[in-house]
Amino acid sequence: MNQRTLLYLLLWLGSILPGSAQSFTLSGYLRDNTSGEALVSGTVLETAGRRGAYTNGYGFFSLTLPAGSYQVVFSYIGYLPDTQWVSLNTNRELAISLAPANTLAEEVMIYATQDAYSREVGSAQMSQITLGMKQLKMVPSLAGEPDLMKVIQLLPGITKGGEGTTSILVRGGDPDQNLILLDEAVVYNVSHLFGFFSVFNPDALKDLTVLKGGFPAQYGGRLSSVLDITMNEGNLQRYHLKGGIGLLSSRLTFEGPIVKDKGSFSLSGRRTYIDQVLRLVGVPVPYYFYDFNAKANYQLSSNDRLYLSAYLGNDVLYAPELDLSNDSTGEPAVAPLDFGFQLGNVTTTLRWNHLFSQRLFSNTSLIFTRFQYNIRGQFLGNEIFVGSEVMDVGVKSDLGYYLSPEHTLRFGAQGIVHQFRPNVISAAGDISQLTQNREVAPILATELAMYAQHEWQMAEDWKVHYGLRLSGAAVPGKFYPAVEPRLSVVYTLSDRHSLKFGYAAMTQYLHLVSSSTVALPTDLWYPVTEQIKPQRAHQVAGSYTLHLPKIRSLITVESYYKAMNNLTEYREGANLILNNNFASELLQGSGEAYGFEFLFKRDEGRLNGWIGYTLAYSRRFFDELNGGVPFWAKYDRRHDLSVVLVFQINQRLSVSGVYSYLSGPRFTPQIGQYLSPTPGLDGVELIPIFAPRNSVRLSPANRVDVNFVLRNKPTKRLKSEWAFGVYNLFNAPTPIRVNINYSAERGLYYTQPSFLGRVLSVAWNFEL
Amino acid sequence: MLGLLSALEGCIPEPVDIDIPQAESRLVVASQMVLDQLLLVQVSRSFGALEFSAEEGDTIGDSFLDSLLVTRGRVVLLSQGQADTLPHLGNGIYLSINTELLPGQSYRLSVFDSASGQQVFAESEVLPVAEWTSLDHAWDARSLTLGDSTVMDSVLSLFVEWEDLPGESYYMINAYRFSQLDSQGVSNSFGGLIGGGIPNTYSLSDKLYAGGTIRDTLLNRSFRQGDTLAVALSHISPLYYQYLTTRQRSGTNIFVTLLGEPVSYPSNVEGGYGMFSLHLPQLRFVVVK
Repeated sequence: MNQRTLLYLLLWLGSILPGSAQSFTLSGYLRDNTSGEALVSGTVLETAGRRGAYTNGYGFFSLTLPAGSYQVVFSYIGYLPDTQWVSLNTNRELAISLAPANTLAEEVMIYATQDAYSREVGSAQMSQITLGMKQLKMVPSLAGEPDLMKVIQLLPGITKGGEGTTSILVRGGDPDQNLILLDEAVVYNVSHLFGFFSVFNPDALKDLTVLKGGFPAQYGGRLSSVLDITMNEGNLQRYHLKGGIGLLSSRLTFEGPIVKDKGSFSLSGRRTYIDQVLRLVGVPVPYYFYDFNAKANYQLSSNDRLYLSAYLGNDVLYAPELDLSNDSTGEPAVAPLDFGFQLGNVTTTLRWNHLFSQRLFSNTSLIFTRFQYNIRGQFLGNEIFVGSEVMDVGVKSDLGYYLSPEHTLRFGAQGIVHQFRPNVISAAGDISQLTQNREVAPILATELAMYAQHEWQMAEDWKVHYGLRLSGAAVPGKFYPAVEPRLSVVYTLSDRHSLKFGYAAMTQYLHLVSSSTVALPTDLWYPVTEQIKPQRAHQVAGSYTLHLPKIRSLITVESYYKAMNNLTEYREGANLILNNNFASELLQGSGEAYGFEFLFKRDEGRLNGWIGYTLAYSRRFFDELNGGVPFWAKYDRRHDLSVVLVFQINQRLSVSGVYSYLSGPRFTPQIGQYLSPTPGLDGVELIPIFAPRNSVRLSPANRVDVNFVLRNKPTKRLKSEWAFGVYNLFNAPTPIRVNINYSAERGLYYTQPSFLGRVLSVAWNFEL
Repeated sequence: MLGLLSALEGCIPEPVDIDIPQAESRLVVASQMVLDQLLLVQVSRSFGALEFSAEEGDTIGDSFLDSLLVTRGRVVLLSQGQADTLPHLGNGIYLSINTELLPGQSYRLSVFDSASGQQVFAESEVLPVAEWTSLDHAWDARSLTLGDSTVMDSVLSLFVEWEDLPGESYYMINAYRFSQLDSQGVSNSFGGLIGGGIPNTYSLSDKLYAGGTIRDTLLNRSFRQGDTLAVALSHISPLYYQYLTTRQRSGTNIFVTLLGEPVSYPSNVEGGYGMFSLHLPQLRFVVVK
């Protein structure tokens, strides 16, 4: 380090360290007073000087102020604020518990909502949305199954893959560019039932933060988004049982203290009975899925707390001797099909929170995650087995140093060892002409990262977050390093509105190998190689945020541009299902995405919800695809409008509704064909002629969903509710693909079948 | 619950129409080398995706097929200032018997269809001949145990060998069931579901070999003991190799048809579709024992 660098470093340190006036630190935890659960992103505000702090992911806060006496307000949306006089002549520790507010008591919640929105106006963090599970469960859902991923799809900047599926595409990115974390563990496969339901049991979750841009330095490894999902910690005060019975699945959660106020646990399970339901209507589908979530925490000392969380979920289908007889003729099939698959995730996270001082908070995590699938089939003397696995073992250390109300440092490091067994194939019979038996040696890849970020209140109206992430991936024969600068700036025009700007460079060292025409369990993850380089993105975004106190609402208008390099696509005609050399099927190119997002939201009150609109463009540039001509991305959906409204009629009855308008996804239709003799002169083939890649759109989909919730009397010990829902109330078309149909009058013509029409649902939920 | 499910079944919205512009009809050229000098050119026209759909279980009728074949075309092969007008044999097939195909020489094909007024051109160079240095085979039948079951598996291994030609070279090997070609053609042991004759054509690039003598083993499950095979080795152009590999990747394999991405077939026909490829095959015969 030369002298000039050292001088700059000393000047920088001098600028961020607290001044010479004697200061003391007020620190502690903010929790729910009924369950003891930590309240994340709560506000601690010294009212006279408007200096404040926010709770971190574990409910911890630290606020350093000059010696004196202060009025401090602790608040959190949906809770009654707590105001205390704090005499700060020495360092103080407080354990604050807030009481949940009655939804109808609007006047008492004004402060928390106003405060949260004011904070959002003044925060340098942009492109971020946080959702609570209570809010999420009120949104109408397919078959009455509350689904986190489908609610996320209703947010601006985020669109879905196929209709009815849980896949998400963020700001023109690809489906594999989303970092989905469940208590810090990566969840590789977020869907059950071929993508129609997510793996997240809402009863097991606490909250969710979505980041679409302006990524803080602690996040990396994917280009387009971060979904940081936190599981329930469990009730520290009393044992508690809750659950629900729906048309397709039932779920049960049991939580309670291990030692009162010191440790707690939460256990949740969910299983579908879709196999049993379909059997009632004579359709034998021997398929089911299940999830199991567990979490426990224990306070070892006033400065140490341990958390252990785990998730296990599987999709299982086993169809021994499935009869393929022709229903119309009743004739037996040539031979029965013996087919089965099993796929699922396992994640485990062990975390240790440690307070080095009242201003230095650390969390160290050991993380394990695994996704695997096994498929086995026998048909007409052919037999095939296909398997794949990705397994991670990682360690991560994250520290927050709360220097003063103006300066916070966050820094840390992480390392992950990935082990891939990408494609194990065994085959016998004629089908082995299509593939070779193969079990490749496991591929190891190591991802490393270190980062630091400084959150700096430069002046009353300027705040900046700047950071740097240094990452790298080591694979056999190659090491890829990357420098990822991050920057977010806010200029506060007044306490009601602000302008923000963000820039983030992101690097991704894993790719999802998948056929883009359908979602299958055989989609698999594969690391960078000597030939396949890491994906890289640079995103800039600007936004305007406006707080409307009179109607307790917030408006955000945001625009972004994202340039992406080394994106992966597949060669034309790629067959990824029985191919054991899929790496050779990958192509790399670039892409760009830009758009405009509008969000109007109201988080509390009798009438709450949001209106989101996105205008988006996403293009790809691949020399070897579409004749080298740029083409639109498959999920380049131009317009996406969502209106989500929840109305609390009285304490026992509420109604909610969703209106969604979404431009159709793009596809490449076959528009012609010709005959060609085979080179061996043994026949004639039909050769297809396709339109330019992704040049045609499916028709847009409009949908209205409604949900009514009727609760029992609030005075009863057993709280229960009936939820009646209608998905696609007006039975509107929701096109999913194009078919060629024939009628005597019209001849051959194209049609677009829909995913589902009107679906009624009923569910019973309870809490004890 | 049963009632709800029944209601669900009755509430699938009616499919919505969509208008997708169809590809305009163009001339299609396909060339075939029979033995080592006989050039056949087939001329037809392309048609819209809605004129015929294999998806709907349709079969191409004779009248529709006739409408696709260009029977009133003027097909001329041009080389070194000489024009050879190919006579029409029937079914849109034109035969060249007057032009000798010489290695290293380029030939230009002109096709004019008087019915549509369309004209297309294509050019191909005859590449130096690749000669067999060895061709042998082995027949292997065995039982395989996989999981709890045992299945029979049989395979013909063709041991091929020839000298790689200078420069970047591409080759095609066609294996015909010669003894049954007249009556049945090449059968498909998978009942037409998978394969569709594709395994009988192999395309190879010398990039996959060390250079010098090319030796490889080609596996085939279509042939049986007692078959007499004609095996032809051809030195082909990079574009034709690309055409063949595209075809192999995306042919009639049901998995590719259902799950694969759209495919663009390469073409050297200006203003049309198809492939005009001239090559000189070298034939050898094998009796499977």
